Amino acid sequence: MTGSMRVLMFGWEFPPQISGGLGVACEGLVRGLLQSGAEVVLVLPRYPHRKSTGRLRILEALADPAEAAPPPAAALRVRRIESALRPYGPPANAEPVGDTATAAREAAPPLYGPNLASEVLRYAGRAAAIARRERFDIIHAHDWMTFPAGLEARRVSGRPLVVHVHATEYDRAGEGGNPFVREIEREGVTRADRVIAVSRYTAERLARDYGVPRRRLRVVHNAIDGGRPQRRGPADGDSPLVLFAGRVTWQKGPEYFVEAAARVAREMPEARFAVAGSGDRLVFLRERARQLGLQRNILFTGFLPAAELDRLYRRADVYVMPSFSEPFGLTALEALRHGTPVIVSRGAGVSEVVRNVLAVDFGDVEDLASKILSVILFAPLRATLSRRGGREVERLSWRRSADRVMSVYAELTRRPEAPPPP
Amino acid sequence: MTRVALVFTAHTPWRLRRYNYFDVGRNHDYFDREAMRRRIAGLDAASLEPAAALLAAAIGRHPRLAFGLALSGPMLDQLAFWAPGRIPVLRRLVDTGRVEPLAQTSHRSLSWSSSAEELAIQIRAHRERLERHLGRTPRVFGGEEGGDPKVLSAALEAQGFFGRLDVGADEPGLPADPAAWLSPDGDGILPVRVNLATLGRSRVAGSLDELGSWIDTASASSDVAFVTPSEAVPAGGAEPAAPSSRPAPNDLQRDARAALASLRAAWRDAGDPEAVEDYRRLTGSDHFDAMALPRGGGAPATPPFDSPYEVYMAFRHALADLELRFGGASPRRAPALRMPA
Repeated sequence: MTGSMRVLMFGWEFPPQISGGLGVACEGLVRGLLQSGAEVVLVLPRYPHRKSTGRLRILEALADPAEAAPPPAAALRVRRIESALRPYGPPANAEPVGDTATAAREAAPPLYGPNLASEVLRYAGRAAAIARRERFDIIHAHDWMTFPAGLEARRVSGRPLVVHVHATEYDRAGEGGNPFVREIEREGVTRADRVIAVSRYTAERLARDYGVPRRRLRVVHNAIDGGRPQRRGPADGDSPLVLFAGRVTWQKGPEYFVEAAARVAREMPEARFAVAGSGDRLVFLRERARQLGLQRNILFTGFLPAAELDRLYRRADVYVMPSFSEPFGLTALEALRHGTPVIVSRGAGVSEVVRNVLAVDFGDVEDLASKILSVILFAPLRATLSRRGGREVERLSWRRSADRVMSVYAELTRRPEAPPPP
Repeated sequence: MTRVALVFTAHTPWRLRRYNYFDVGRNHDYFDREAMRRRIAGLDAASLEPAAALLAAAIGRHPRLAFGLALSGPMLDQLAFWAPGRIPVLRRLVDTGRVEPLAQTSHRSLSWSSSAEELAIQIRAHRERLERHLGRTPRVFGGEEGGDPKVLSAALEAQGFFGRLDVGADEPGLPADPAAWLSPDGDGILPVRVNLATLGRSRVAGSLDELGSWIDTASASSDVAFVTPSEAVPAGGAEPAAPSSRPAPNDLQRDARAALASLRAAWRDAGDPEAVEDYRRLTGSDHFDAMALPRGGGAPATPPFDSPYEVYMAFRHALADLELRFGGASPRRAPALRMPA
């Protein structure tokens, strides 16, 4: 028995298939925890017909070039549960990647009502079976779908449960959310021993909407790793490019992006707009863009692989995240890492860790369009946001966030934190 | 004998509102008049009114008490708009002959100024304002805004000023223990600067009671002599001004200042006095200061703005609208405005 913390973690969408979001956060946190000396058993749903991208194997081997002496591969073990559950559902919005996409969509129709309920419960039952076999000090569950699994694991093992809230049903759907999801969420956050929120913004919501006692709430901000890629930026003669990247769902406010694009294009007909991502609002948005006469200005790229999205980040004049409610907003950090100036909705969790961004009120199309135009027009503004924002992001790391998570574990296990690996 | 040069200052900015790209050419409301009205009403009730009463009583009680009064142009203008009753009270203080108003730029613009002509106009304008409101011509310049000392000295000399009193923002306020501070250890002049606009409202400025008892203590001491600004500055011309201690401007400040200067240089026949007045209100150093980007990445907020970036954008859009009013090219032709990266 060594001194290292053993974590039974219920994750989702891992390795990340889409930009930003839960999958990226989960991967970053696991990497940070391993660097902090923890041992992690990661329980994941196995989706039918999905190819492994290889990133998980890389992580399992922990060939992290930044680490001179990586911890042994045994520090991470992955257990799979066959499941039709998918992140961000219902409705399921994360598109599978590659040539298996169609097959996967057919194999995993969106789950609603009793189907969803029984699937979540079946998953929890399988989680309990795993919990009986594994040895661990603490249970860590990410977002509502794994909360029943986390509670079951606690019941059979008696170990403390930490739930990690990346978004609530209110963020995803406003007042019109799914009551079943809300119930699962409430159950998880009120019964867990500790609740980690990705921002103070989210912690406030959990205290207010779900009555989570503040003494059990902890804030651990998301982070981003890796150096700063070369910034290309817009070159002379390039059309100004404005980027939206993320799920094209109500929560992310893509409608306001398109409306603002129309205002900008009226002033600056050569401006170009890219919507990178897919989701249930895509059909509507294409039609709306056509109505607004934006066919020549706007490009709906659909889902983009990371490398292509990175190219867009580097090329864009400004990145826009007009979300209705943004618990964190990891893509803003990705944009800033590329030196791209960022406009976010006021109050977004990410603005608790980076200050050199512009903020707009949700739905204020005129202010959003004005800020887009300002960033494009005023070079000193663009350069200052890029330089200072990039510098802020460099100070963040998943290792630091993981250390904070470790101290939350320590509160519950009353054991000294493991020393960092030699 | 300690000679105490006591100066009361008061300033309030022209507060920018969130003026955006689409406001350009649509309206000229660069400033949040309602917020300024509320602020003036608040600080008059909390600070100016009781302080003026206290000082009037102290002058009656202590025959040797004398001091300077450095009221900024924006402060006097906003008092005239929204608290006009305070001005006659201040004038009665000046009428005692022991309260000397100090000259400034009319819009507290020094830190921006690159134009000697504009500087001269502003100094003259504030002098006329003091004559009109307080019935007295200032002899000593006491601006607080920094700026190019050589240009300033030339302007002051040309307008026949007696001297310049440094009332820089880093002057000490009231000492916590007046007795200790007033020990008779030399013949130097002790500058004491008290901000009337924050008196009674912040710990740094101290309370009205502290001010009253400090004046009583100092006036009762035979080791203390109060001097007016004219008595405090050396005779024989303007004292060479100290170089500004402000940090070097950042890229936003530099760009805003350049845009301001080029607009000033571009207008030949400024036929629209309201536009000229709005221009001068934009030259106030407060806007410049609100664009400061602190070290360490943080960005303090100046209401109603979230960040210095917001101040910069509102400022640049207001200038674009002014350019239209002065007959310049339409800033709506956005591509023409685009700067190289």
